[in-house]
Amino acid sequence: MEILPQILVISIIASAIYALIAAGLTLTFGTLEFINFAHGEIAMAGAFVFLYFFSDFGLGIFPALIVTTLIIAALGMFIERTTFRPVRDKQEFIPLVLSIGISILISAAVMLKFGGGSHTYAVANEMPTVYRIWNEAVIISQTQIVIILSSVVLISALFAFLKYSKTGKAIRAVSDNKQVAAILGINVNRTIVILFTIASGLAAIAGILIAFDQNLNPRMGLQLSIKAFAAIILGGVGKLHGAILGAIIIGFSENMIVGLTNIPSSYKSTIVFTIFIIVLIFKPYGIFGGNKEEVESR
Amino acid sequence: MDYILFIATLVAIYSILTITMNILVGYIGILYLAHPAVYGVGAYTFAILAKGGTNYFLALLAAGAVATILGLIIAMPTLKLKSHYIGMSTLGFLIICHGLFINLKGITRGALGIPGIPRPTIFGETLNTNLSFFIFTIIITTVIGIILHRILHSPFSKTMEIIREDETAAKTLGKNIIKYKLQAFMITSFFGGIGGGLLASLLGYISPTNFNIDELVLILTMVIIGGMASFWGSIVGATIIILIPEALKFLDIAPALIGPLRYGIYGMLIILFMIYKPNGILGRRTNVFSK
Repeated sequence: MEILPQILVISIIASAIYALIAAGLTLTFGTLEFINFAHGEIAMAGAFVFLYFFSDFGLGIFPALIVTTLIIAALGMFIERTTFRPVRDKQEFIPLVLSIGISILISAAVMLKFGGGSHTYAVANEMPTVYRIWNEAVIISQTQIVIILSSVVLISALFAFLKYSKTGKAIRAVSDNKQVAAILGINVNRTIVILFTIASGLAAIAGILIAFDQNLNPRMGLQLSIKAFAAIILGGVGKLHGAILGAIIIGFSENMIVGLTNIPSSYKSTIVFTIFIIVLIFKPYGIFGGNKEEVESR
Repeated sequence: MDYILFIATLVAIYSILTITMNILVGYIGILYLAHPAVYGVGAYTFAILAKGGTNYFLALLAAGAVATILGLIIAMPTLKLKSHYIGMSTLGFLIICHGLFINLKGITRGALGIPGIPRPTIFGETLNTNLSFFIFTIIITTVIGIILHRILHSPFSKTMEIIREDETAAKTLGKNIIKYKLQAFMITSFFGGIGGGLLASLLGYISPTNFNIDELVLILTMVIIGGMASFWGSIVGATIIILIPEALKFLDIAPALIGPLRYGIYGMLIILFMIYKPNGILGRRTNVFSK
């Protein structure tokens, strides 16, 4: 059991990453009522745009981070205006399938520019800063500490934004009922654009953080999307605290089971989705999702 | 010429895979995203049995049977769920099965894949040429196609479409919705499994990459572009999507760019169809996946 503290730390890091992606996803889902398959690809695109500015262009970390977040936020805004808005009031499957198309297009564009292989931000011959804590039982890198802190700070900021700011209140009103929000004088189109911009910016930061910790390749977006979907559905869709709980369940279950048993780590996705389907069988609308009537009345 | 026959065979097999997916997605309106898992299980069953010396047709039937069992397992949670939740649970099954294809090395040989999957032997002649296998596949797929066409133009299919349009109305008419949904899953997975077996036989080699999410995107694009709830549309969709990468080969593009370009075109097609023609080329107005 001497490895338990290390596994706990790895689980926390994984949960922090999934929570950042899932938070943005659950915001768009709660308002527009479709799963945005392109969300993970937007995070992936963020990681690659950062690669371009940071490694190829030679900008510093913070300027590159700001430029990337702005570009990806603008991309999110552009995607909403040109593709999701025209189909917003159509049948549900249309925006969902559309987002699959967008996700393929983004990953194809990244592959055309950067190739299909893996990249890394790390500079050769430069060892990452590593800390040993808890009587040297746990090894944690500086990047991983930054991931956990940024995730906590960004998600707390998001909670505060939704609860206290005027725009945040408008977002909650629109996600509750678009017609009533419009009657009350809220500009629904503008609110949804802001929502997409925020979600995409968050995704970009998440993508960059993950790429710092691991590496980046054009296939990572899909993996992120899938884990984030599982998280928001486990927690109960459209609820921010549900998405975060879902992310924690997924981050912990995949790492704890793989770390503490003999099951090889290539089973991670299989484990996550087996748990996911078992939860869906017993709680069809997620842990915080309420009952059938409540979901249908939305 | 030989290559054209190979592509034509591929189109015939993918038409079957597309029509079977369309039964669930288009006709009965279940957001079913696990098709590669189902026909993948069919392909693996067929490959293992046929390599082990089982009769070719028996192996195909076994592929259908094993795929049907998986189809019914996938169907179970969907009966209680709605729209996106169905999508996520079926997608979950695809990811689980893909993980098992990679990890159950004792059965599937993992990422190495299974090589040397045999072609059929009829009257002592092994159909090793593309022409003979093309004729063989066309006969089998036509038979399956006729069966599916009859199913999809029968009262059974009308009931499926009522369930898609309005589940409550279908219940009011005394239709047993669960029975119809399970039957639709069985038809899809049985013929999908046989299609997977034929695919394994055509390619001669299968590995987990043949049954991943990229494949799902491929088949989903075929269903959408062809048209929801359209038998002939699925065939048109499969033909167009198979031919796109072939057409790209005639252009002067670096080979490394063909893959991403192909996916870019699929993505663009999905986006444009969803915005401007969500019912596809031959599809009718449908009310798919609504709450």
